[in-house]
Amino acid sequence: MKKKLLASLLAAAMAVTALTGCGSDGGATTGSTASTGSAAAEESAPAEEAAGEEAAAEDNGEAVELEFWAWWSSDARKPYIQQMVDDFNASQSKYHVNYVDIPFGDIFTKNIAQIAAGDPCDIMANSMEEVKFRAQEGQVEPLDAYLTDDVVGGFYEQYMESCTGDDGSVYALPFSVDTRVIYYNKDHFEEAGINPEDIQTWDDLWEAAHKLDVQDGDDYTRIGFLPVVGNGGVDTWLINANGGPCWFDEETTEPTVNSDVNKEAFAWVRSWIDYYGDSTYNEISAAFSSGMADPFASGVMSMVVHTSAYTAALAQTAPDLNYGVILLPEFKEGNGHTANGGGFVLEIPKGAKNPEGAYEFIKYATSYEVQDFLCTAMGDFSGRNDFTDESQFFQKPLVGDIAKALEETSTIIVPNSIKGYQDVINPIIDEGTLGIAPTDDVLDRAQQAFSDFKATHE
Amino acid sequence: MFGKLLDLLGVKTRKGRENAYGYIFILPWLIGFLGLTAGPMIFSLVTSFADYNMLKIDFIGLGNYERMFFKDQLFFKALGNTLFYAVLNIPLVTAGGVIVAVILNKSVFGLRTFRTIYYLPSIMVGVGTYFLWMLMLDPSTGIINAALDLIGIDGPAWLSDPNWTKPAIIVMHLWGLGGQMLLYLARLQSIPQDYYEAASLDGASAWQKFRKITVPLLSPIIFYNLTIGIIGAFQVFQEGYIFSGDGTGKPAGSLLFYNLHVWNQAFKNFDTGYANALCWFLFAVVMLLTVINNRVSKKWVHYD
Repeated sequence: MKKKLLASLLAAAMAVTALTGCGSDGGATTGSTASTGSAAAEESAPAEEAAGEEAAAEDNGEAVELEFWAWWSSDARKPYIQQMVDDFNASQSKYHVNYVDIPFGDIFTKNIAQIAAGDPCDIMANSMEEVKFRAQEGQVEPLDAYLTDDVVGGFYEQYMESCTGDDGSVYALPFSVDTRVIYYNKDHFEEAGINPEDIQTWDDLWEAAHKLDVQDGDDYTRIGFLPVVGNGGVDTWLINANGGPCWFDEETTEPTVNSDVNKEAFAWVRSWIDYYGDSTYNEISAAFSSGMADPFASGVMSMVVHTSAYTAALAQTAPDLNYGVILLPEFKEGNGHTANGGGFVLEIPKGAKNPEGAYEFIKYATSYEVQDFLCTAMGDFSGRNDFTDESQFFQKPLVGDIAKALEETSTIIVPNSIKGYQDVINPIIDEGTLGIAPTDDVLDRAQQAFSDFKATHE
Repeated sequence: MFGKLLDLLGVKTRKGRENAYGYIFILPWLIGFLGLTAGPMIFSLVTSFADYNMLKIDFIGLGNYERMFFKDQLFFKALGNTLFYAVLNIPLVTAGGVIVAVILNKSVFGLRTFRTIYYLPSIMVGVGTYFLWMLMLDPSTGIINAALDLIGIDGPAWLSDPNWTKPAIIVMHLWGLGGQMLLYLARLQSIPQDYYEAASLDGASAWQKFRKITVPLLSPIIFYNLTIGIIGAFQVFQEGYIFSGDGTGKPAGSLLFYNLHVWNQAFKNFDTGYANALCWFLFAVVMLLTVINNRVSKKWVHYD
């Protein structure tokens, strides 16, 4: 009896597995036929097909469902993103967007896996620095068919340029941008009798910083400034000195790592660490990277380079801190206050089924009113060029001052042909920053490494 | 419970039954391997001979392997970092595990509490512990340097000085040796006291007893931990990814471990074919080491 029971159980199990096998097989086949079919249709007439789907959806009285992927999940952000999505859904009846937040560590690999599987989301948030690269890799849909001049004209030129592929097509629209400024402690400045407007050049910065230092014996209890902590790197200063890309020539992509400007600027960066000593630098640097004891928030540092988003962090960690911002000073008088910055874009992953609807949402999310709402709520900056003092966002303290830096912000986009060169030169540059080797030698070696990299990648 | 099933299938001999039971025990793994892992593994081997970016495949023969040895400026650095870490980490954690287990096998005051304390870190896993360690390793406010300061040592800048980043990770792993300790402890408990008594009567010193009785009888467990340890050491990734802050392996590339390099190639540069080639080279290295370890083990591992 038992034997029979077992046998029949096994038989049943096998039958079920076999059937499920058939089922999923069948499903997969239909799925792939459908997707091949639609891919072919898309190639011939993308708009028509989308229109067809919409019409069908409208006939049913149902909106076309769209998925919007991003990683904003904190209380400081998600409610506003959700609000924006809800407002979009309420503003029209053709599309219904669902916001899906996926952790930052997973979202990009998930996105690429979904694209490879032919079933991506409809709208994806992604980095501005790599739009060109993703376009070349075939990961994004071009927006040219939908873009109009009034939409394109609403953004700073450098951000639209970042969103344009090597083939001249536009692949994304800027959703939020950042830049770098120097935050200063107003109380410290007052006490030391420094007028922030007097800090115009690197020399001025050096002079002011050392008026702010406080020493107890050999130890510093307060330091005026360190250029490569907070959110500043060696490249921040070299880009500032060059007024643009510092490691390569924008036109020829030839390495310019050991240029005279770079040598002078890097030596200046290192001279700060020499001045305060390696142990002070290590302590301050560790405090910033562990994120637990921000030295600027606690008044241990009087000035720090940070991104435009730093105000939101300070509101949490040091709500009573009395601070202001100045632009990065000029390397030499008249050289310009160039800051490096980046941002995030919204784009349509390759193979998305409803590009027209996705574009409608992207256009909405990057429009002036929505950007004003989001920037005001979340503290990000917008890549739009039509913000005025009347906007809600500009009513917030410091916003106008930080926005001035946007005009001189350089978004450094690595050309696709030399993608990955930073992996090779950064460890070498680090040696100079840390004082393991002289900065001039380090730049010469990095130049050589970059040239070797280029030679093997062509 | 499978006896009847085996009867039904006509497996009658003792040997046949033993084999069948063996397969039944490894069946869960086999199902996982054949159903989930084998396919992607074969695919990764195939694409390791291709210029593959997850969306398109162009076969380039041995191009990726050639690039690894002759063109990749970071390959040897990443491999070197990983080897350095493995060579220091494996013996230290193994020896540490044995020593702690031997101490906690004696009846000392508060034995259970200590065993629990030593074991606890090994159940605390994940990114949270790395952040905790970043705080503990902070050069000015961290507890590690504060403790070193008490005995007059001026502690290093653990995570910003490229010479100290890998030792910092090893220190962190020593903290988590409780998992190994537990295995040794279980084995130690089963060593009959007679052996030690007999040795004592013959006038053996404590060290001799440890070397001639404890270590040989622990050797199968040491061997197991060593095998797992070698594989684990070559898989080190998270430490480099999190401690370097941005996944680049800084400071000065000192935390650029092999798998971090693989990850950057696969998911940052979308050179997935090349990343797959890197993986297969690592697989070959680990396989080779495991085989050598197995061969050598015949000389020093004693099964009762």
